[in-house]
Amino acid sequence: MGDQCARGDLATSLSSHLLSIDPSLNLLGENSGDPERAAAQRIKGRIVAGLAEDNLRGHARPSSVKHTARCGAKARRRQAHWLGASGVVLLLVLLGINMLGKSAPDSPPTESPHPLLVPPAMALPTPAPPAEEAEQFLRAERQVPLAQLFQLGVRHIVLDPGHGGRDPGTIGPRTGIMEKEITLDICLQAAAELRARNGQLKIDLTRTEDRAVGLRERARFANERGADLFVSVHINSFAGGDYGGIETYYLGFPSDPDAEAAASRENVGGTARIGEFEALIARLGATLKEEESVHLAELLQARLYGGMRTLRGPKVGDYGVRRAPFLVLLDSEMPSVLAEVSLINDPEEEVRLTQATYRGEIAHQLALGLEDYIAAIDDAVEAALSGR
Amino acid sequence: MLLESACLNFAPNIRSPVATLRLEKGQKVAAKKRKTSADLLVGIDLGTARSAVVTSAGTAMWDRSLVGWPRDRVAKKLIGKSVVIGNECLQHRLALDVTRPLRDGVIRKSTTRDEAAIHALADHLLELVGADDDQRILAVIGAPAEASAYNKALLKDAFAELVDAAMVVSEPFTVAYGLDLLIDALVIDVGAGTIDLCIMRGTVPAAEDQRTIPQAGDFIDQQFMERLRAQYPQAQFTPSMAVQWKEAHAFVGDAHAGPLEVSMPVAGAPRQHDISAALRGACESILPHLREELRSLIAGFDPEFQERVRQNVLLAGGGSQIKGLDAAVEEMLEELGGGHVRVVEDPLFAGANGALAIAQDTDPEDWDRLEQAK
Repeated sequence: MGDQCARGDLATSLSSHLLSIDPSLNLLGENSGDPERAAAQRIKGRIVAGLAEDNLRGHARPSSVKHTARCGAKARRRQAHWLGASGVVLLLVLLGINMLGKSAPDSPPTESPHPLLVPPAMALPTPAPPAEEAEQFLRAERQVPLAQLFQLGVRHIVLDPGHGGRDPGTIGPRTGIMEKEITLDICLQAAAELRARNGQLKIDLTRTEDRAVGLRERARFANERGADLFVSVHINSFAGGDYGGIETYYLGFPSDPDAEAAASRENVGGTARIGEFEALIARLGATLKEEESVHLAELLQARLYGGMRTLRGPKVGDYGVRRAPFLVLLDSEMPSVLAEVSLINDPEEEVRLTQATYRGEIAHQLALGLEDYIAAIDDAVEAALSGR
Repeated sequence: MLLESACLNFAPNIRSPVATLRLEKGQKVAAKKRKTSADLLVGIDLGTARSAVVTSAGTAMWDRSLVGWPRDRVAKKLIGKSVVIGNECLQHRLALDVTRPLRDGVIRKSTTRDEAAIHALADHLLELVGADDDQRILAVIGAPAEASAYNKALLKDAFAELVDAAMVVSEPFTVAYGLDLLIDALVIDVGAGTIDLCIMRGTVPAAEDQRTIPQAGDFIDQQFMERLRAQYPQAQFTPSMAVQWKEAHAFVGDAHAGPLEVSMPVAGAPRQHDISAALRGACESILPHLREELRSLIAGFDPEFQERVRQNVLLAGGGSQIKGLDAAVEEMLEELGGGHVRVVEDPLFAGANGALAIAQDTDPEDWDRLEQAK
């Protein structure tokens, strides 16, 4: 059994070690009359100054993460507040459709300019045409994302490691590391972390080894499994001296004015009403996908950029959430994003990407972003159910 | 209270939780470099299981790193609080959803509730020591040896609204600093979430000077319960009971002879069971991991000074109280040429005391810069 050790027991040995390592320390002791103690103090002074520098340099607060988290909390409270109100609006839309569907055969189209929305018994002061109302609803900058409005949870996520097999993606010019290797490892680590923390969450990967997978095959993989979210992971690369930044893409469906007008004209007929209802639901699905893709992209981007900025300092750029026609996102039927989680043409970053622990940090941020999204949905639903 | 007495058996130097104490004469450390009398210097050891905080005013406190929320409105009304922190969580654990804000030695911050938990714990620790409104609070916070830069930043973030300036420092380093073990020494800090090893070279430890092993106190708990279930499948026990037995009797090797009998009900009737084999096996499950990292760390040190390091090994953290662990580490050192292991005198406060010593030795100008950079 060893002995017990308290402060000061080893001061003598420390001082003698210090002097043997750095004889110049004796100079300090000449004036103090206690060279060993002075030497120890000087070494400690150097160490503490180093610690302060280290803290000033490397451990910046994750302000973006904090900001996001706190704003997220506020936003969730707002969402909870508005949830009931928006739910009522949607209910009125759908109720109006059903009620008019029953009375429409006896009502000439011209008699009621707003047949779908305002049944006679419901005297809303400024009724709007149903299709217009529905479109307004879908297009509105609402406080409550549709997924929350319909209390849709996330139970199944598909992660898509970009490239693979004969398609290496971008190759690091200095280390030879390939994008396909990095994305696979990040996805594997993120999946392991998500599974470890949430046993109810199912995570699938479009590939778990180095093999080629077609772009549409990746989306089909997610569709066939009924996934709730699809996240494709890639590494950015820019030409020239631009080291680029972190960015997250989503694919949205642009609105179609002609289709809107056609739907509006057909609102008055019975069949058209059913068609309108179906169109509304279809558009609701499209809007849901776009809206939730944006929401997911924002939360992922906040985590990825916030985390990487903390690790790498101000050099990393925030390219934000962007919209682009990526094929891999086109066919997916669920909210889906493509995240450029790092950049390989920054020489320092390329070296870091060869380290599993660093890739683990990126995977960690990816997992946190996904959990933020899940938590936002769950919190709002919980708040709505509890009447808060 | 059974749990408390278990703690005391495990570590006789551990004081009652949530009790303001003055360090004894000689231990009390005056603020040598306080910029003004309005500065309160604080050393914090934020642990997975327990957290300790000491101040330049001589206050030393600790509490369990637990945060709980009432499970429903009835529980909230019963407890009279919306958040419960520390030891009180154990008293009301049946009415609470209890979480540890730290996992494997690092902050859990996956959800809004995780974020709230770490902020609540940080707030609680600083409330325990108290500070006047006009005091500037300057804190040094211990972090696991291999905590990522991101996690260190999260630690700072947790205290950002509570202190005027903060530094995050490797936990085993704070222990070493507090004991003047700055040159040719090795600190092994056995915590609940991690075992941290740090080799001291007389400089700020670099990444290659430190190792973190995830198999620590919590891993022993898990192993212990699995072994108990396998050995006594009919016996009933809870994780809380297993932890109490571990804290009271943990040992490795031949540090304990004979049976260790505890009472576990079988089909509702109390029965005595010998837990010595299960407990020994569980405690020894961390040794292979420790042996591997110890060898790797010492082998990477300057060969001229390896002998000195081996003779200067310090066991710290709550796990340092595992009976026979120091002898087991000396046995590992035998394979490398032999060495000497000491056990820290005050495992609960050694990290926080070291953090306070760093805070006191930090140049006031550096504190000003840290405050401005916040």
